[in-house]
Amino acid sequence: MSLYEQFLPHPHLYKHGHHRRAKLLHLPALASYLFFLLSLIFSISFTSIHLPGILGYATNINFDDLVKETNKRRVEQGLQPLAINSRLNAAAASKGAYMFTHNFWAHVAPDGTTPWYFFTNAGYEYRFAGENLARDFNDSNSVVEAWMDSPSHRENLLNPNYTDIGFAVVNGTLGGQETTLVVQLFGKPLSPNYLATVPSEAATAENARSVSQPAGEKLTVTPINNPPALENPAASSPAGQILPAVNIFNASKGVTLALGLFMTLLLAIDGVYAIRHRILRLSGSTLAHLGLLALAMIGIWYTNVGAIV
Amino acid sequence: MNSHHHLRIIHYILLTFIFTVGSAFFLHFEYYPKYQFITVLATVTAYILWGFSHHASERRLSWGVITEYLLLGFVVVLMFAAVLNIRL
Repeated sequence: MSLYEQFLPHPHLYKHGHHRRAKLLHLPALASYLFFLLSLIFSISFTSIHLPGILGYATNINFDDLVKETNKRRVEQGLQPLAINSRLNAAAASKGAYMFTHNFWAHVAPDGTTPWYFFTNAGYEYRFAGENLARDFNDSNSVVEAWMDSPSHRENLLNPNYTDIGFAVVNGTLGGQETTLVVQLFGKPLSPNYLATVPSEAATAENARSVSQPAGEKLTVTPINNPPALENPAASSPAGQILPAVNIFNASKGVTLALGLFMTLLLAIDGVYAIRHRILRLSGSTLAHLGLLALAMIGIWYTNVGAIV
Repeated sequence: MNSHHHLRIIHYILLTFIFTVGSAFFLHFEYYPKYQFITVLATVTAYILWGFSHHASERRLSWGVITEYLLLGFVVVLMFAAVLNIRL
């Protein structure tokens, strides 16, 4: 078996009278790529759970930058910047802790607890309220950019009804994965004098919400047994302290793109060879395979880290 | 141009349509990795079915071809699973 046969189409006829692709495109090779990717995914899962120091947390997200980036976008749209509110900060921290404790990531908890519970529980009686959530991002600007790219989150972020903002950036383990959650709460108090707000130099941004409580709408609060607090300090912690040894997103992206490029090159060589020698193969369509792989690589290249809801 | 060539062109137009729709949904669901992954699953499933029907119509469908489409489809799905942080 020559090296040539591994990477290039076979120049001679085989037992069924057909030319064949490079051996690295044969079915056993495809199966080995499949096994390699499965191993990669399971290794990431295992490392994330059992060796958290290696994959770590995304840590360049910080409170000040989030406020600054949010208010910057508000000011650009001619809106007033939001003021940091300590009760909204407390409500956001409670929501973050509640998600880690109850292992969910959504506006409404599986037990029916709505975002509005955390507002009132923190002592913030609101006229308007909203919430934005994000996870797995690497830096503050990316979080705000993602919210701005989403119409519903953008609508919240640029909502003129809000006057206050609160944030929580919390690390923890969710669904067996270490992650950084960002909770962003917006509000306008029922009474302007009711709440103590903290004027901030960095308050040049505001946050968007994907869920909001409109003015005058009756608040529905689902009672919960456990107060939303940091019940397990080990399960969540303030973000920005643990640097990951490996950026798993970039590593996965690099490995998959390399594999995709390798397969694409082999197929492209095979396609050119087949056309030049007018070969009809008893195998899948090279053109279709190339299309699928090219599309996959473009998609992976433009995939962003992080998710919002 | 005979009917075989016409059929082939139609097949590839259909494949382009599958890729276009898949790409549109993938972009639409930016920052929603679970939905992006579902889009990938749907697109790859459509691709595999396209491969089966394409080769069947050309009377070149064999177990080897079926396996090839399935393996390549799974490889692409797992590539996205790794990047989109989908846990199996």
